[in-house]
Amino acid sequence: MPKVKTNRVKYPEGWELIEPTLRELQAKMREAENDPHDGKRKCEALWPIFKIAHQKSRYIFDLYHRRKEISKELYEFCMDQGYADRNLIAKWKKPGYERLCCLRCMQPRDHNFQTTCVCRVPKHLREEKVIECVHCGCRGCASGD
Amino acid sequence: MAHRLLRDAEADGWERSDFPIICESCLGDNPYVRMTKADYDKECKICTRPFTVFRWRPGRDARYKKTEICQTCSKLKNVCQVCLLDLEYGLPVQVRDTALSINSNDAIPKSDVNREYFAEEHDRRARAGIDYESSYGKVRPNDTILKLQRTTPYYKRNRAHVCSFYVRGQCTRGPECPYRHEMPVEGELSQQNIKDRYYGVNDPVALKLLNKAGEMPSLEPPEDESIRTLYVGGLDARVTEQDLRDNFYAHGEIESVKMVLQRACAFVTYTTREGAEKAAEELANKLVIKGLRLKLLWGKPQVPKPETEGSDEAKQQAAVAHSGLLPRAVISQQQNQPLQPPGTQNQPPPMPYFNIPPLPQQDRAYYPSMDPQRMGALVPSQEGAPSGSGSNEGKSGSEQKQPQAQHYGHPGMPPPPGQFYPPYYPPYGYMPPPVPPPHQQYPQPYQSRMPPPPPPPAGDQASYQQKAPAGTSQQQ
Repeated sequence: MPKVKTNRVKYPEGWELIEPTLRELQAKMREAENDPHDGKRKCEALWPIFKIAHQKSRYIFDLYHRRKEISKELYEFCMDQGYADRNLIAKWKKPGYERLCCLRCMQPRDHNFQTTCVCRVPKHLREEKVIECVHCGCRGCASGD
Repeated sequence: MAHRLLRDAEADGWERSDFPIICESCLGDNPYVRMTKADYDKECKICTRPFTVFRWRPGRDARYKKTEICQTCSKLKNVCQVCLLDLEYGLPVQVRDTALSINSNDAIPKSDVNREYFAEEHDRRARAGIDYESSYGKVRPNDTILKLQRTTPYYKRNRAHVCSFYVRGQCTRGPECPYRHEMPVEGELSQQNIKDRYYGVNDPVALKLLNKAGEMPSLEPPEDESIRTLYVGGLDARVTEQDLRDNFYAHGEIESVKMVLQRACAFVTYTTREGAEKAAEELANKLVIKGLRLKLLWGKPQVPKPETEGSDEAKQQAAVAHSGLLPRAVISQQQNQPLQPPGTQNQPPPMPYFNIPPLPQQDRAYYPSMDPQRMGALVPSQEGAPSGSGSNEGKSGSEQKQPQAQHYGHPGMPPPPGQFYPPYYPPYGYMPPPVPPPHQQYPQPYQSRMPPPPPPPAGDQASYQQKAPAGTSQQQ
C-alpha cells in the first residue's frame, strides 16, 4: 500500500488544562449550527455563530496576552488548529479595537458610504441607544463602553 | 462584487439619471442628506423598465426612502418619483387633473407592450430635445387648486411603517425594533394601489379631498352693509404689514391695516364696501403669504345692540363661530359665561382667565388697555340662545349706562357697582363701544369699528359716542 501521510496531532504541554473549556465551546458551536431557524430573522440565525467564535478567540487571547497562563507554543497551536481566529486577535491588539465583535463590522468596504457598522459607534454618540447590529447581533463594541 | 455584463448603452432603452425628481416632503428636513445611487437597480412600478434607484434617509426619525417610479413616468405626470404626488401642489394626480381639467389619461396606454413602447418613445423624444406635452408648466393655477394645495412639507409620511408583528402581539425585538409600535389605521383610505394613484383613477384619497373641496365654506358678506373690514388669522412673525398690503391692495383701496401680533391676527379695512367684498371673494380660502396659509373672515362691528335682536346677533355669531382661532380656553370660557342664570346680573361668578385675577372695581375712567384680561379681540359666542339672552340684558344695561358713558368723554367701561367686571375684549385698535355693558356683552363676535379712525382725540369722543348708538340701533 502506498505510504499514507497522516497528520497526527501532537498536543503541547498545558493542553490538558485548557482542553475542557475548548471542548465545551466547540459543543456550543455545534449546537448553534444545528439550531432550527424558526421564529428568527434570517440574519438573526447567524448571530450565535459569531458570538461563540468571538468567545473562543477571546478565551485564548485572554489566556495568553492578559493572564499569561499558556506558552507561546500552545497559543500558536490553538490558532493553527482553529480554536481561535488569528485575524480577530490581531485586531484586539490595536488600540480602539479591544472589544471588536467581528471582522465584518469594522470593514468600511462592506457598508454603504464606506462607514463602519453602527455597533462600532460609542453609545453616547449614537441616536438610537438600543441596537443589534445586523451582521453579528452586537450591541456595541466600541472600546469606551 | 460580481460584475454583471450589461449590454452596451442599454440599447433596450433602460433609464439612467443623475438625480431623482422628488418633492420637498420626500427629501426631508435635513439639509445634509447621503444618497446612494444604483443604476438599473429596480424596475419602475408603472412601466416596469429598469431605472436608476436613489435611496436616502429623509431626516432622523424617518425610514429610508427610495425612488419607486422611473423619471420618464414621473415627468409624464409631473409627480414625485417616490410619493407620486404632484410636484407643485402636493396633491394626488386625480385631484390635480380634476381641478385643472387636464385629461392626459387617454394618451398614456396602460397595457404591456403598448406602455413600454410609449414610455420609450417619450424618453427618446425627451432626450432628443423634442418637447411635446410638457404642458404642466403652462397651466395656470385656478381657485380650487390654490385652496387645496399643500403649503408646507408633510414629514409624517416619512415615518417608519407599522410593525406587523406588534399588531399580532408578537414583536420580540422590543426597543430595538425600528418599526412603529402603533395600531394601523384601517378604513377605505388604506386600500391604495400605485397604478390607480398614478393614472388618477379610483383613488380614495383623491376622492376624499375632492369631496372636501366641494364643501368648503365660502365667505359670505355679512348683512351689515357698513362692515368693510376683514379679519386675517393665523399670522406669524414673518408676515409684515407690507405683505398684507401687497396682497390686499389689488382689490380695493385699503384704508388701514391693523396688526395684532399678540393674537396672531390682523384687520384690513377698505375705504369701500365693494373693495372688501371683492377681496373676500378672491382671497377666501387661498390666502397664502410666505408659505403660511391664512384664514380670512369678515370683521364684526363691536358696537352693542341696544335693541333686542338676539337672533340677528346669534346668526352673525354663528357664522363666525367656527373660526377656531381662539384658544380653547377662551371658547370654553365663553361657553361657561352664558350658563350663568341670565337674571342674576349682580353676581356673575368670577372667571379668571389664565389665572389672572379679575379686575377690581373701578369707578374712574377705564381704558381698554388697563384690563389685564383683554385679549385685543372680541370673542364670538358659540351659542345663539344664551348669548341672545345675554345680549338682551346687555342692551337694557346699556341704555342705563349711556348717559354715564357719554359723561366720560372717552371709551369708558364703568362697571356697575357691585358687579364683577368680566373679561371684555374690545378689538385692538378700534374704539370700544361707548356703552359696553361688560359682562353681558362679553360673548360678542369679532367686531370692527365702523368708521375706524385710529384712537381719536378725546374731544371727538362725546360726539362720536352719540353717533355710535344711533348707528347701532340702525344696525339691528
